Amino acid sequence: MALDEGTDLPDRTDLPESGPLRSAVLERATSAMRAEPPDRHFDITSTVKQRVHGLVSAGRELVVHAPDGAPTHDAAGSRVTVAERVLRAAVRRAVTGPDVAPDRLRVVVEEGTSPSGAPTQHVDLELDVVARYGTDLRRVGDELRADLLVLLDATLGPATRPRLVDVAVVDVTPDDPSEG
Amino acid sequence: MGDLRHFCCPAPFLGALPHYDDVTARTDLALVRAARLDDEDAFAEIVDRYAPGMLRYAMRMVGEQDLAADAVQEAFVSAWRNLDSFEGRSTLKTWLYRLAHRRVVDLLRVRRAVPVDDEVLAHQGDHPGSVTLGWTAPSTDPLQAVLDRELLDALRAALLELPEQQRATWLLREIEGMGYQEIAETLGTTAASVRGNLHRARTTLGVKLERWR
Repeated sequence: MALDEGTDLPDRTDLPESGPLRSAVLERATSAMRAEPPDRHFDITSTVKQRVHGLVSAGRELVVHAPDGAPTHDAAGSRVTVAERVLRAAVRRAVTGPDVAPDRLRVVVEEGTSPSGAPTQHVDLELDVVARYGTDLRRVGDELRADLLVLLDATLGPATRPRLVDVAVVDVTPDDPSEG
Repeated sequence: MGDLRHFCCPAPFLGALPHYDDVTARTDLALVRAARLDDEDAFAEIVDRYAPGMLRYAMRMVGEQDLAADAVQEAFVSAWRNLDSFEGRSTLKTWLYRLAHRRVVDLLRVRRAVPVDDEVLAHQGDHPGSVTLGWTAPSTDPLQAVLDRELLDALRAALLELPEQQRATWLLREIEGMGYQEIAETLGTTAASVRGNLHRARTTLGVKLERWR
C-alpha cells in the first residue's frame, strides 16, 4: 500500500531507523489491519441508500397548464401538477452529454393570481453547467436554452409569458464532464 | 421519470443531447454534480465507494459496530442534504470523512462518562484479545492466524487508549492512506499538528506493542 502517494510532506523521515517507533511488530500489526477484509455481515451501504431514498423530496408542485395556457383543465377547475423532482430529473437527463453536464439547477417558481382570481404559477430555470474544454460555449448555451424551453413546454404546458432559462458555464473539464 | 418521458422529452431534444446513465466510471466530482440534481444512482455510487472505508474508520474510533454505523449513516444523510455546499475545494473523500469524524467525536463525547481506558484495561487484564470488532486476520497458517489476530486485537486495544486526535490521525494516515494535508482538512487542524499527533501515536503504539516482540 503506497501510503505516501500524493502527500505533500515527507513521511516517517522524522522517525529513527530502529527502536519502538520503527517497531517491526507495529509495522506488522498495521499491515494486518490494512489487510483486514470488510465484514460482509455488516454492510451498511443498503441502509444508507434506503435512508437517502427516504430523504429525496418531491419538491414543490408545479402546475401543468392547459394548451391555452390556463392553469386549470376544465370548467370545474381541475388541475394537473408535476413534482419538482420530476422536472429536475428530466433536466438532468437531458442536459447530461459528452460535452456538457449539469452542475446546479434552481427551479424558480413564481406564484400569482389571475385576473379572475385563480392561482397562477410561472416557472423559470437557472442552470449551471460544466463543459468540455474546447466546446463552443456560446453554442452550448444557446442549444441548452432552446432545448430546455422545449422541455418546459412539454412538461408544464405553455406559459402565459415567456419563460426565462439562464444557462451559466461555471467550469470546463479536459474530458467528458459527465464522467470526469 | 419514465412515466413522463412520453411528453417531456421530444425526439429532437433527445437527439441533440444523448443520455448518459452509466455511472460506473464517473469521477467523484461528476457523481456529486449528478447527485445534486437528485440522481440517487450517482449518490449510491458515492456510498459504495466510500462507506466501507468510513465505517472501518468509525469502528476503529469508537470500537462498536452499531455506534460506528450510526455515525456513518448520519454522515451520508448530512452529505446528501448538503451536496450544494460541496464546492470541490477539498476532495470528496476528505469531505465525507470529515462529516463522519464529526459524528464520531459527538459519540465519543456522549460516551465519555464511561472512560474508555478503564473499559479497555479491564478487558485486557483477562483476555488480550477481548476488544474484538468481529474481523479475522487473513492467514493460511492456523498458528500465524491466531498470532495475527491477537496482535491485531492488541493494536485495536492500544488504539482505543490513544487520545482521540492521535487515534484519528494514525488511522487516517496508516489505514486510510491520507496525506497530511488531507488529514488536517478532515480533522480541522493543521498539517504540523497532524505530524505531531502522528509521531506521538506511533511512539505510544510502538511502546504498547513491545511485549509482542
